[in-house]
Amino acid sequence: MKEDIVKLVRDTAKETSNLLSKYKELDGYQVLAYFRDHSLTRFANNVIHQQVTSDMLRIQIKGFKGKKLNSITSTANDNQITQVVKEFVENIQQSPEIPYLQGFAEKQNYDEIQATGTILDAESRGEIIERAYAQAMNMDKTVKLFGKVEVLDFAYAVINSNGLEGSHRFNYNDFKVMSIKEEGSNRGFGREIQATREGKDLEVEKLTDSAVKISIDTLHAKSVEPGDYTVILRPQAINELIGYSIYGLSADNFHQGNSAYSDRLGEQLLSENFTVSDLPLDNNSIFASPLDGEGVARKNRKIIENGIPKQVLYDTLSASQFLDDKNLTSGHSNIPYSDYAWGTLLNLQLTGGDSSEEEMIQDTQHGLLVQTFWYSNPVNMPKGIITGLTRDGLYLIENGEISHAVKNMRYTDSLLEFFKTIQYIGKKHHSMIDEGSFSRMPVTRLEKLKFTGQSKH
Amino acid sequence: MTAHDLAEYAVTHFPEGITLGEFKFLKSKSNFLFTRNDNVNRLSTTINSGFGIRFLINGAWGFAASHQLDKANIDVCIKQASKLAQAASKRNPNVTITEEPVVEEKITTKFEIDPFEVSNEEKIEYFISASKVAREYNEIKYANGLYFAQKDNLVFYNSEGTKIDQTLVWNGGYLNLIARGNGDTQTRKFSDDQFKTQGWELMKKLDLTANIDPVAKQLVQLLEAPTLKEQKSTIILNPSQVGIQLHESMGHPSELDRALGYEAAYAGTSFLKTELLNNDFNYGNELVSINADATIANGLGTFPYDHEGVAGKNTPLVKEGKFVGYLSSRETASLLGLENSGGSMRSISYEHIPLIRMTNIMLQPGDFTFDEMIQDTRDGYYFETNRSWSIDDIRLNFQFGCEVGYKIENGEITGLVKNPTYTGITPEFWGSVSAVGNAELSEVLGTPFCGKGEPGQSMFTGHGGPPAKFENIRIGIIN
Repeated sequence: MKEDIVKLVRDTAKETSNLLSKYKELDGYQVLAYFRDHSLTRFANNVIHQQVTSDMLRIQIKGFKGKKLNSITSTANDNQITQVVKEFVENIQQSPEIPYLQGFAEKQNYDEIQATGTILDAESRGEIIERAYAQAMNMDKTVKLFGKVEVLDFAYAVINSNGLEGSHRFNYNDFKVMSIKEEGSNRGFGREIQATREGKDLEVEKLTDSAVKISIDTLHAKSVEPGDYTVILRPQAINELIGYSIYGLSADNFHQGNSAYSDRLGEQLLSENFTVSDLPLDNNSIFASPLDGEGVARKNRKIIENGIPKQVLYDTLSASQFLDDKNLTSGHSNIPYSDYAWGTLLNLQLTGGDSSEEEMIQDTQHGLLVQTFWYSNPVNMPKGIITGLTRDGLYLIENGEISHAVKNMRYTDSLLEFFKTIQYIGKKHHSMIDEGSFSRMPVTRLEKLKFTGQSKH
Repeated sequence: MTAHDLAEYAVTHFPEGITLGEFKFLKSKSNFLFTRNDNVNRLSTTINSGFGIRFLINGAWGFAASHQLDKANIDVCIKQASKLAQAASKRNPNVTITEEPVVEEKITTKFEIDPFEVSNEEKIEYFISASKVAREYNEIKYANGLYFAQKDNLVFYNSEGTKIDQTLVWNGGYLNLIARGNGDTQTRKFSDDQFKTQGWELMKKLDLTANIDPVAKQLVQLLEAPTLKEQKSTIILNPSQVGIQLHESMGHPSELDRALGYEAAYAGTSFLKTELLNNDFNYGNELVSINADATIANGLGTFPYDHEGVAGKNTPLVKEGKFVGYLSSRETASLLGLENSGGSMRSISYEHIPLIRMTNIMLQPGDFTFDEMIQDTRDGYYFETNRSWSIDDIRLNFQFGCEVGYKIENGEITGLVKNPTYTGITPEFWGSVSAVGNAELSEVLGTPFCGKGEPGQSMFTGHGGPPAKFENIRIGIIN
C-alpha cells in the first residue's frame, strides 16, 4: 500500500491550480486530482485466471469565463499537466455558454473521516482463495469456485478558485465467492459478496459455506408458477431493488418527469417502516468521504424517510439548473473511484428492524426466499416498473419452512406497489459493494412481489 | 520517449522463460457532449494514456499497468507482472495459447472528417438546432442530445515479434425526446444506435434537424395511444431492436470466456455450453444465421487487430439455426482445441487486461422486403427502438421494452401502441422466426456502453441486421 497518495493528489491539484491561476482568461476554475491503486485476483473453476495491478493519476479541470464552461479530464503524467492546462485555457472561448451556471462551490468546512484500513497484497489474496477452496472441499469435493479478491486504495483532492481545498482517501477489500455444482445437465449456483475496510474482517469461510450450500441446494431446483408471492429478500436482493428505486431520485430523472417520484416528493408513497439513508460521514461506510467530487461537504441524509421520498441527488450544476441555487447541492457530485460506475457514489443503509431471517421464514405460509436479483432495469420509469431475475439462490417457503430450491424467476412490478408492502426488516446488516455503490442491508420481507416468468435453471 | 521507444525497451527487457510477453500502450481521447433543449449541459474531453504489460509464465497470467510513461516504470511493471503470474501458480490454470501470425503494421481506420477537428460550435449547433425543431410541439418538454467520439491509439508489441500501431476513430449520437401530457410521460430517440467507426460525416448524414420532426410528431401521438395489452402475438422487430436482442441473447452467450466460467461470478455463464458447439444444437430455426464480423465497413465493433495482435475476423456463430461458433481469444481457443483465436480480445484502457468482446453481431439477411413482412401479417405488431432490457445470467430468459409499437391488422399498419414489451426464452424465440428482411434492410449499429468484466469495462461493440419477424410471442407484460 502506497502511503503518500494523499500528498500526491494534493500536490497534483496544487500544481494544476497554480498554473490555472496565472491565466486571466478564466473567471473561475476547479481542479479534481485523483489516484487509484487497484489490484485484483480473480478465480474461476478453482484456478486463478486473472492477476492484475494498475495505478492511474488523473486531473479533471473545469473552468469558466462569463457563462462559458469547459471541462477536461486527463492522465497526469509528469510533463503533461502544463500542456493540458494550456490547451484547456486556449479552448475556453470556444466553450458553450451555460445560462444557469453559477460558478463553483464556496469554501467549505469538512468533518474528519477515517476511511483507510489494511488492504490485502497478492500473497494474502491468494491465501484467501486457498481458505475458500479448503472450506468448499470440506463440504463437497465436486463443486467449483469462482470469484474475486479485489482491493482499491483511492485518494482525491479538490481545489477551486473560491479558496476551497479538500482531500480524502479511502480503501477497501472486496470479496466475492460463487460455487457451481454440476451433475449431468443440471447446474446449481450460489454466490456471496462482502466488502470490508480491513482485509482480516472478510468472512471467507462463512461466505464460502453459504455459497456452496446454495449451489448444492439449487442443483435440482424445481419450477413454480409465476404470480404474486410473499418474498424474503436477503441483503443482496433488497439492495438491488433499493438501488433501482434511488435511480428515480437523480436530479435529471426527477425533474424531467422520468421518475415515479416526480412531483411527489414529501408524499407517503411507500411503507412507513421504509427508511433509506446515505451515510458518507459514517466511518464504517466503505466510501465514507467528507467531500464530494467538487469539494462540497457531504452530510448523512435520509433519502427516503418512513416511506416518504425526501431527497433528490444534486451537484452544484444540477442544483443551479433545477433549483436556481448552486448552494442547494446535496453533495452528490461524483467521486471517480471507478470509470465503470455510473451515477453518484452512495453509502446506502436501510434502517434495520427487529426481525431475523429465521423468524420471517417461520412466519411465512407460502412465499419465496431470494438470495439476489440480477439484471434489473426500469421498464416504465414514470410508473416505477422494474423487471429483473432471481439468481444464485431461490427457495420456496411453505408452512414456515424452506421447502425446496426453485428455478430462477423474473419479477416485473412497480416499486410504488412492492415497497408499500414491507412487513419485516432484519436487525443485522450485511456490507457490500454492488454496481458502484456501498450498502448495508438487512434481510427484508415484502408481502407481495409480482413474478411474471420463469427461466430454465 | 515515444510509445514505440517504450515498447522496444519493454520487449528487450522481458524476463527469460516467459511463454508470452505483451506490451500495450493505449491512448484514448474522447469527446462527450450532452445538450438539453437550447443549452449545453456538459462538454468534456478525456485523455487517458498509459501502458500495460502482460506475461504468461508457467501457465499463469500476470498483468501490471501504469500511467507513468518512462523506463523506470516499465521496469517496475515487468517485475510486478512476473510476480503476479508466479503468485497465481498455487492455483495455476495451466494456460496454453494458440500460435498466431507475427504482424508488423501501422494502420488507421477510415474516416472522412476527424471528429476532433470539428469545432464545438458546430457540434453544439447540430443538436440544439434539432432540439428546436422537436420542441415546436408543446408536449415535448425536453430534448436531450448526446454525442460521443473516441480516438484510440494502440501500440502493441509482443515477445513473438508482433508490432502494431493502430488508430481507431468512432463516433455517434442521438437526440432523446421526453414528452408529458395526458397524465403520461413518453420518450423517443433519434437516431437509433447510430455509433460507427467513422468520422463526423456520420452525423452529417444522419442530419437530425432534417429528420427529427416525424419522430417528435409520433412521440406526441404516443401520449394518447393505447397501452399494449398482454397477449401472444406475431411481432416484427426493427434493425436496432434486432441488434440489442442479438447483443444480449447471442453476443454475450457466445463469448467463450463466459461459456468457460471466467465471468461466472459477475456477469454469469452461458446456456451455450461447449459441448453444444457443432453438435447439431438448434439455437434458432433454419432462417437464422448470425455472424460476429469485425471486418464490416464502419461497424462499431470493426477493427484491424485485437489487443492480442490477432487480425479481426468474420466468424459464423449460427448457421441456418445450428450453433457453430464462439467469440474467442488465444487462450480460450486453445482450450477448445481450435487452431486460431477468433480475434476478439479488447480492453477499454491501458490499465485493463483484454477480454473477449463482441465485434459486430449481425443477423444475416433473408429474402423479405419490409412491405412483404407487414403484408404477410394478419394480426401482430411492429416494435421499434429499445427502451428497456433484461436477461438472466445464462442468457435464456429475456424481457425487452421498446419505445413504440405499431398495430398490424390484415397486412396493414393501423395505429400506434405505447409501452410495448415482449419476453421469451432465447432458443425458443429464435426458433419462432418466420421472416428475415433482405440485405437492403440490414443496418450495422452498435452501443458504446457494453459492460463486462471485473473491474468493469464499458466497450464499444456492434450489432444489427435486417428486421425480423417472430411468431407466437408473449407481449405486453406489466407495462
